[in-house]
Amino acid sequence: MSEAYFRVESGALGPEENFLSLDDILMSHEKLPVRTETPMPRLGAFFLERSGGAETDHTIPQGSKLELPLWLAKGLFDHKRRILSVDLPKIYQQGWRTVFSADANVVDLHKLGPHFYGFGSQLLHFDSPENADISQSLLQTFIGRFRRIMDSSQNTYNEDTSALVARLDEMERGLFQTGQKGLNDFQCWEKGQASQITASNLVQTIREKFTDMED
Amino acid sequence: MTEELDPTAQDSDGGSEEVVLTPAELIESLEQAWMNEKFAPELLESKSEIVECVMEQLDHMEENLRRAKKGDLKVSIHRMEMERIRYVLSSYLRCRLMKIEKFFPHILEKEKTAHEGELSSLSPEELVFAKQYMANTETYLKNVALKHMPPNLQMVDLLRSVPKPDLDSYVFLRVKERQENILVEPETDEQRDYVIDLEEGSQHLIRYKTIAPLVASGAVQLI
Repeated sequence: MSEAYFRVESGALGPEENFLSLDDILMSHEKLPVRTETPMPRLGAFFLERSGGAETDHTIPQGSKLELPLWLAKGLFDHKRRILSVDLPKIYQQGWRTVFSADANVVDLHKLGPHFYGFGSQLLHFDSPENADISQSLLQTFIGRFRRIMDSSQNTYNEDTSALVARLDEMERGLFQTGQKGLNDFQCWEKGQASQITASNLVQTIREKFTDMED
Repeated sequence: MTEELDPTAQDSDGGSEEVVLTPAELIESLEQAWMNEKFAPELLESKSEIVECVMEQLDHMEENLRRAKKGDLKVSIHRMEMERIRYVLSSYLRCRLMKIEKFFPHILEKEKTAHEGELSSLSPEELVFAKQYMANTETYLKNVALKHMPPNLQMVDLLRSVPKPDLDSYVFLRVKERQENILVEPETDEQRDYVIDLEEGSQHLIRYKTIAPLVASGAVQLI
């Protein structure tokens, strides 16, 4: 409540992502492998290697594989009109699911897609037959990794945390930062700095900007 | 403490209410409303009568202190207590304002469709604030982005884009009055609905949606 700016949090883990959330905008920009079910006229100008060529008016033929961002795929996906059919990315398929169930802690989730959980939750919209398994696997992966995140965020005070954070995906990093903030606030309170009035973040950054501009 | 050292202030309460509260009870109910507001995920009913009574109390105490002789220890203790009450009151109002800013389209929509008998969750000043905030946000979005877009894309539906308050979040609560037969909905597909009883004085961690009416009626206290 002492913040000057309330950011809109990500709704990706819920039923629908939040329109105004920057995290969700970044998350839905990730690409998804997709197959077209109907020919798309004139879009071949963007995907030159897949189009039918100039004679067919640059049509993308039926059944060609494309990589579209999630927001586009979600918008175009429809049961009735069958414009697209979505293939699951590798990390949500059976092979990787067994890796996660074996030991979730050793996997580098940042490399696999910085928005593993959010993207996976929104993937469930595409009604694949593996939806139940994907959701179970997401949940179990998180449960497996959560303990370590909580412990490490609560016990590293004033240290370099880059090694701990490197393998976490974006949602887990948010959790880690919340834990760190809680720890820092508690330490501040113990030292008695909580009752000192400090300048707010907004004022400090504006002051820095003005001093930069004056130079 | 207030009632022992400020007997003259006791008459100011309960002017328009049926129930006359002692100042101690008034501060107690302010603190409860403050805690409920802090921990609830949505905007609760506006307790403007408590706010008004507390402001009257503070004015009376201020007057009494001005008349008291200087250098008296009681004066500084009273001032400290007044500062504390003032902090609780302003924290309560700030928390409400934060929730109004966060959920403004849904709150205004609820106000529009509220029936006559239901209590409003906004005081008149808060309603004015919410309406101005909405108008300002719409003007801002229009001038910054929307007016440069093609004509059929120039509307943004704030009701759908601004996230709703998350009523499924978990809250801690302490039970003040015994409740029976609270229906708890399942979280996963394997569980089914089950019914629990809440004993007086017990503390629970439960989804806000289940106990929302109890918070409004005052039967439980969020902690």
